[in-house]
Amino acid sequence: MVGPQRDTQPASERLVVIDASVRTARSAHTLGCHTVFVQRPGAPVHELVDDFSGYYNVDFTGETFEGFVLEVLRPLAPTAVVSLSDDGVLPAALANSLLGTPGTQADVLRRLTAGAVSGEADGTGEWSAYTFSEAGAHRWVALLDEGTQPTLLEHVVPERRLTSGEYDAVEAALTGFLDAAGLENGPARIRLRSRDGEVRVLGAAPTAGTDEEAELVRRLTGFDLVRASLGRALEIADDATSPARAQEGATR
Amino acid sequence: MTKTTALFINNHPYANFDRGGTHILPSSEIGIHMVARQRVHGGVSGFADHPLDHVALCDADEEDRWREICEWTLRNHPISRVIAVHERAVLLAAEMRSKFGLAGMDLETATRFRDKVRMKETVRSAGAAAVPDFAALDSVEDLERVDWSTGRKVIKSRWGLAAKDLYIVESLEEARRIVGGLDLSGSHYEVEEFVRGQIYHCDSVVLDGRIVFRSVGKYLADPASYSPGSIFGTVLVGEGELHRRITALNAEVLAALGIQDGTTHLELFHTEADELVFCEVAGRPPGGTIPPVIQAQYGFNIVETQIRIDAGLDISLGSAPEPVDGGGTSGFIAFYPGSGDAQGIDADRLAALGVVEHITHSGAGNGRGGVRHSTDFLDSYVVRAPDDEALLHRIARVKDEYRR
Repeated sequence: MVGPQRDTQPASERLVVIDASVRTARSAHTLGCHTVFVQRPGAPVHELVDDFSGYYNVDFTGETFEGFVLEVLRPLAPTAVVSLSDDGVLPAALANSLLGTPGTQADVLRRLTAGAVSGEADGTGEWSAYTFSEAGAHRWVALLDEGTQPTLLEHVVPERRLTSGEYDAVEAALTGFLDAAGLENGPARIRLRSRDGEVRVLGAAPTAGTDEEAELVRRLTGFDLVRASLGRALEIADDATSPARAQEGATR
Repeated sequence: MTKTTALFINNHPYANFDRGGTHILPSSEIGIHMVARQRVHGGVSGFADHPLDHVALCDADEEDRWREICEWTLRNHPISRVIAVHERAVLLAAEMRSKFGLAGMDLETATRFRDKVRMKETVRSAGAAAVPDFAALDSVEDLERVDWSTGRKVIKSRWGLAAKDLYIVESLEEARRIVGGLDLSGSHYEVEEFVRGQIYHCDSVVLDGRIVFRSVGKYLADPASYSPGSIFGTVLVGEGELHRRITALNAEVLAALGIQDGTTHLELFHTEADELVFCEVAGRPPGGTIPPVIQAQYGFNIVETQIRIDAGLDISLGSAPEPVDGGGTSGFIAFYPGSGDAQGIDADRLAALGVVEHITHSGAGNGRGGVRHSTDFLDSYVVRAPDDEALLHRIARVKDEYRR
């Protein structure tokens, strides 16, 4: 299930996006919520915002970011804070932790990015797998050869790209890796190598890949990793504030 | 030498700072952190042509959000100056200067230039100018203490701008009816005597407490009378007895209110009895099309002057006090939305009419045929002429051709 079809979302929801690309920003504008962008100094504000977006240029990797979250973002009462960039995911996790908004926690992100087995990458037989997780269920969306520009469905859809045996082996490796990291929601881009029937995870990032990769995946598979990721951030915020969950409290 | 960095609290569309291809923000001389309105209000209009590295966009109506990002920015960046040119930004800028000990107009002074009750109390107690009777309007009972035997009164926001939130009432009964629809909590309103007379304005540049430039203008209409299809405008007033009296009153008022550095926009009445009566004064440059008129006449941009003063930079006043080109006079005529099928004026006719600048405002009006405030112009035309009579004649021709 893709899920994040939120065109009728009430505009009372406010999504903070850290380090958005222009493509990510445009996708956020389709969700029907208020958007707030937190960007590095010098970002092209005019290409990122819509008519009612909030916007801030802040060094979100610096020491002052925590104060910014508490003094500037908290009064905005954001529904969710999310990032799809390598540099933005940890600041987003920090913001969620400080604000009590749901999202992938920093220790999960660290395990995800640090949990790959070591092994030199030589480019041969190496792939990037793109996954999307919802409530701990992992969907394997696409598989791209490293350094190539596929143009056909058969090049990116895992079931068509791999033999049944290869598929099972890679899926098991991906699931094991994501479960071990503890990723419950959101995208992951996982570099892996399959050689002699053995699958190794070489590295991972909790993102949808580059804009070009995400667009390629969307075009060839129909699954929009960026929109799904942003929409999922709002959905889990909704879940967290439902009556049943509210009793558990959100005191972080 | 380390470059100065300034916080720019901006309520204008960003494109307003591009004047005929010249960008009047001194972004090459200082670092600028801009806090502005959202895109719908033009916060980043024209931004690609003049980008800034540090920008924050906030909801125009959520002043606390502006305050929070301003304070955070000032706490976390080496900023020594605060720039503000819009009335809605002036008070917050002053609050920030006072809170962080920065140079420029402080909160106490800015409040005297904004709160129309504090302003008139100060002017009256200093004997700086004749002031209409006035009183704070914090409850319906306050209306009972007003002398209604003298006739018409004005109820208006103490903190308002551009003649918004202003009501003219003829009687206590009418006043009660108006006040019944207002939220009087928070000391936001005043009631004052209605003054009949021609309204003039006097615009100044002040450095070290000394007025280094002043210009007097005569409005073509009451700023409070804006309505769909109507006109507004001003013509500059040349040196002479009235000019001398107005500038003297202006000097007394500015001294009483205690401005050290900045620009001001004062309005006053000239009554049929030849009295000058203070109306109000703002601690910022004039709005609407007055800055282009001053620029046409004297060769400097008074908005840029305010920005440079706030930024601690040197200023140039062009040819002032003498007009550019050695003489002549200037004014403007502006048309509010709602002129029916008015077609405007062909560009090739402008020079013949003495028009030196035509400013169109694509976002004018409230979208329902109404006018939002006194400077909500659809089209405005800056006109130059050799003398006062020719200026009025040319403005009349512009008016005729616009509606033809």
